[in-house]
Amino acid sequence: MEIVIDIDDSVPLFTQLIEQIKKAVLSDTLSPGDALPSIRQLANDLDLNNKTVAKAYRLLERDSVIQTKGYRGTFIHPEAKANSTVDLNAWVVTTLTETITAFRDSGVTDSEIRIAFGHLMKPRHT
Amino acid sequence: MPYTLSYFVFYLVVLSQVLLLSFYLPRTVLRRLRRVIDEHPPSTYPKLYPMSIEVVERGLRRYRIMNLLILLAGLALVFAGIYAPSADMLNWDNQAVLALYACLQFSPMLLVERSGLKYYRLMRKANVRTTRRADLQPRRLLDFVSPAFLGLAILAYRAVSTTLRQPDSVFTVATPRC
Repeated sequence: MEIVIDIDDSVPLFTQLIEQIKKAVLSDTLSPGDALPSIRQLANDLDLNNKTVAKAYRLLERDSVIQTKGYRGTFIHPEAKANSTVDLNAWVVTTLTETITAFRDSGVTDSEIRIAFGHLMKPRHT
Repeated sequence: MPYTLSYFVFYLVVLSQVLLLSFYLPRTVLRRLRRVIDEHPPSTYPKLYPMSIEVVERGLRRYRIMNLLILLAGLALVFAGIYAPSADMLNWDNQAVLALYACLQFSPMLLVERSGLKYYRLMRKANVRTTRRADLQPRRLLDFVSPAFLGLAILAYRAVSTTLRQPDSVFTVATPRC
């Protein structure tokens, strides 16, 4: 299976990678257990920074679309097909839209929302 | 020096190394590049040539001459080692000399790698397409090396290590001092 990215596209490169891998899983081009190239190989072939591919892989792993098995490599997750339909970004946008609409309806100003949001999104020190 | 089995095996291994790295390998590389140039000439495939063909030809000529000189030096080293071994030649054909010669043999390969990298960068710079493609198939060791060659390399390694560990071997294996 071939992956194609457009560096002039407004969609971020890591998102393009994620979308295409998910699309391939949904169309059965990639099946559970199929091996994926290493981060370095894919970054080199696409002439991208390793960190960009690593970010895409990290997010796919978070969504349980792929799984990393140590030194053996990265593989398609057994539940990848079901998990590929879950769009966390869309869920975040929907939830925030509902919440912000509720705040505005209650009379909270945009600047108050931004300040509260800024406080909540401060870097976490774990 | 007594002419033992390990002595002959050793020189056979050195001779095979000389022929493999300074004759067979460069000949294969040059033939492949020649085939690419002949089948894909600059007039038809300009994108394959980010630099002029004269520069490429000059580099190939330099590579051929370097390997020829190293091959002649290697053959001289082996034949001198057989006909005038260590005892007469104040141990000049010991492992240090052969290790230095191996480094010399690898120098054209390093040159090719460096030039290849430079060429690759120029090709990338010349590429103005905004789409990039890659195969989602992982590459393993056997995608780069044929199993037969890998098997031969393991056998050669075993042969050399067995020769070096023979009790009557004239060559010693250095042990690190801790």
